[in-house]
Amino acid sequence: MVKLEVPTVQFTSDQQSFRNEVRAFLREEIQSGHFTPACDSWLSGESPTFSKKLGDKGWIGMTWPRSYGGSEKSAIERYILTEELLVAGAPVAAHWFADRQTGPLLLKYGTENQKKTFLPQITKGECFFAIGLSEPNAGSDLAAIKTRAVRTDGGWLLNGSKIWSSGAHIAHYMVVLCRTSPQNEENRHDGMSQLMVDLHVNGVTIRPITFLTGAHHFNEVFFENVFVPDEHVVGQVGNGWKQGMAELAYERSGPERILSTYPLFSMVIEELKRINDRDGLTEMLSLLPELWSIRNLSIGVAKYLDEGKDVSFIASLVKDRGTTFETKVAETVRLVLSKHPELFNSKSIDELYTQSILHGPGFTLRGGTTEILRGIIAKGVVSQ
Amino acid sequence: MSEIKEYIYDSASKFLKKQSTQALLEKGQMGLFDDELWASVNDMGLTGVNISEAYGGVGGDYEDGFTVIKLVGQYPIPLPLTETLISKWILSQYGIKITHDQPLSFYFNEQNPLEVREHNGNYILNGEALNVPWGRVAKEIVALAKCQNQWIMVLVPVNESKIHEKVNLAGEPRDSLFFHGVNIEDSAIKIIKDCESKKKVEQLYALAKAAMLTGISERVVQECLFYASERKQFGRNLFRFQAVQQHISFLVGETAACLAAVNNAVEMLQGGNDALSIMLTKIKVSAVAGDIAMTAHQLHGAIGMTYEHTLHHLTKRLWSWRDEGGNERYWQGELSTYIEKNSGTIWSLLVDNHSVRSIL
Repeated sequence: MVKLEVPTVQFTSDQQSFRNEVRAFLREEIQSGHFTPACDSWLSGESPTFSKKLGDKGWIGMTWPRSYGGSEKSAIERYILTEELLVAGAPVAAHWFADRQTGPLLLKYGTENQKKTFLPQITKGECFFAIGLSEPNAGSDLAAIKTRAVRTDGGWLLNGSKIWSSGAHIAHYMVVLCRTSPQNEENRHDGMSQLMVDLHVNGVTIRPITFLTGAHHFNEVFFENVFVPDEHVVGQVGNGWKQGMAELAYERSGPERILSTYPLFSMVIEELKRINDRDGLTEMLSLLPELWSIRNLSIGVAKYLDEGKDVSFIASLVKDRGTTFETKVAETVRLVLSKHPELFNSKSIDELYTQSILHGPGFTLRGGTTEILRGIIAKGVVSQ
Repeated sequence: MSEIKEYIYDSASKFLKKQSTQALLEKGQMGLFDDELWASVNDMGLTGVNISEAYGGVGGDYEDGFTVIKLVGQYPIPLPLTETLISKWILSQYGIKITHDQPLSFYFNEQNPLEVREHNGNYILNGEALNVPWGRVAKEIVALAKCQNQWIMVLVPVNESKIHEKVNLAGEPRDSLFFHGVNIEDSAIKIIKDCESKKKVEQLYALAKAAMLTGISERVVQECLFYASERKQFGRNLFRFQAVQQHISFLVGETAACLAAVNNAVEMLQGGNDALSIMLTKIKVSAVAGDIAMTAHQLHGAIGMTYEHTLHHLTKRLWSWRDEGGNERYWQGELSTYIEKNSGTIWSLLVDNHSVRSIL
């Protein structure tokens, strides 16, 4: 029988205390007006000030070794923190990718010098990273990337461009997946490498791409003869594809693939309870079993990742199912509250509703489209 | 997790896999009960899991019990194993020891309980127990009843009833038992003190059905993967087609989500914090069962619709079991009531480590 089970996780009382601590901090931040809860805040809520505060608390890179600025907490503690941040709709976008992906990447493949240089800065909330994967002609077919680096004295010369790079305009570095050897039609994944590129050096141009809401978090980033020193190559030259794919397991199975619209879900339920709308409450709560089951799956994957196990297609599966839940929230609210969505809202519930609809298309596109994920799942499970 | 879990899993899965043949399922479809197979199941100790040796069981905990129940979903056998286990769990918790090896079943319906009257020191039972799983083969049923405005649990001999036989889509008995003036012994009556306890059987049955549905979904995934890798059209294996991959991915994703729900709910039941997780799990699993059945048939094409093929034995159970132990409409009502009654945010109710005591 094909194995689809992930481990179960029950939280200890220490972990519950930690959750309460995070929750109290966030309540205080909201009450002091330091941030307004928003849907999809992990992608569009950028606040270097808030990131710095989390860094001061030791809540960035919290699972990393102390010698690199981390707190050596377990993946379950990090899961709790992440959930609470998303549920509160906190502005975590600035440090998000460094915490989620770049840190684990460097810990696994980075040199001692890279770890010593970058990880402590990341944990302080002072160094942000952007992701450099997609290109104008390489979206779902990532192996078609054209950005390339050629050997030069003491490093590499980078030419090409990356697109859909969220937060590149406030990031300090980007991990760029590029070709360091010409494309080999026999094995399209060969000859790629990952370079850490300082986004403030000569030859880098960052152009905003305005999101459909009118907001700016996407960018297109151009590289024109950008010099990248050898010490900024991540892992092995030529091993970029494999390294990049390992990152994706972290990218696809986390709570941000389930909770992007949670602030709306929660607020609507409280409202329905307040006005004693039993039918509406029942309809809204019909989504809760979805959340419950996918969250259990996602925590199980987090535990597997922590144990260094291969989560292969199950991570993709969390994203596929989780984003379906995220999308259903706005659709259910629409009918339960008979809403007419508006652009400018004075009530927070209306604002969250508008955000949930307008950000909706991104849920099932970013981090691997649903179509790509389903291919991975089907092939993964057949080959098992 | 108890030590016997692995042992139970290994021996029970080997046994059930061997027994759950097409021929047996066809016998089951005809409503036949296999005495010999029942005896083997008893001999293996499968009807005594999560029951202490003092009560004639083999020990273990809820996780062990639900491991067996889930396996009965993966490899269906037409026997009241789940029903007997649940009945014994309840009876042993009320201090009643069963000394025979015959099947047991239950009837716990708060809306339509049986009725017991005291008459000159004798207890007389009346009423109708509807949709009793395997009622006709059970020697006794554990039933919820009212006695002078007092909720009681009563152990009722089935041979004292008039039986109206019915079966679900898979041919599994779901009988109505009519009791008229049946004498009940004092020792077979237990007063239910805690008002929540009358929901306990309902919850255990709901979780059991969720576990069985999930087990059978795993089996459906298996059948679909086999077919999609064997069958070729247009010169390619079916699983190479993107449209078919969508089906596979749906089946795998939903089954994995159901497994995660069931496993966590069982663990929470063991930890004594069960009410909410069981509701959520039964709603989730029941709601998706029909789509899993239809998707599996779509993937199999016409061959899956034939009596000869195994698939219908699995999908008929999906279509039946989702309504047993409370359908999602019923549990959604219970869920709303639970959320209305409990203070605290929905998030806190869902994720916090509550020290709520079990209802038993």
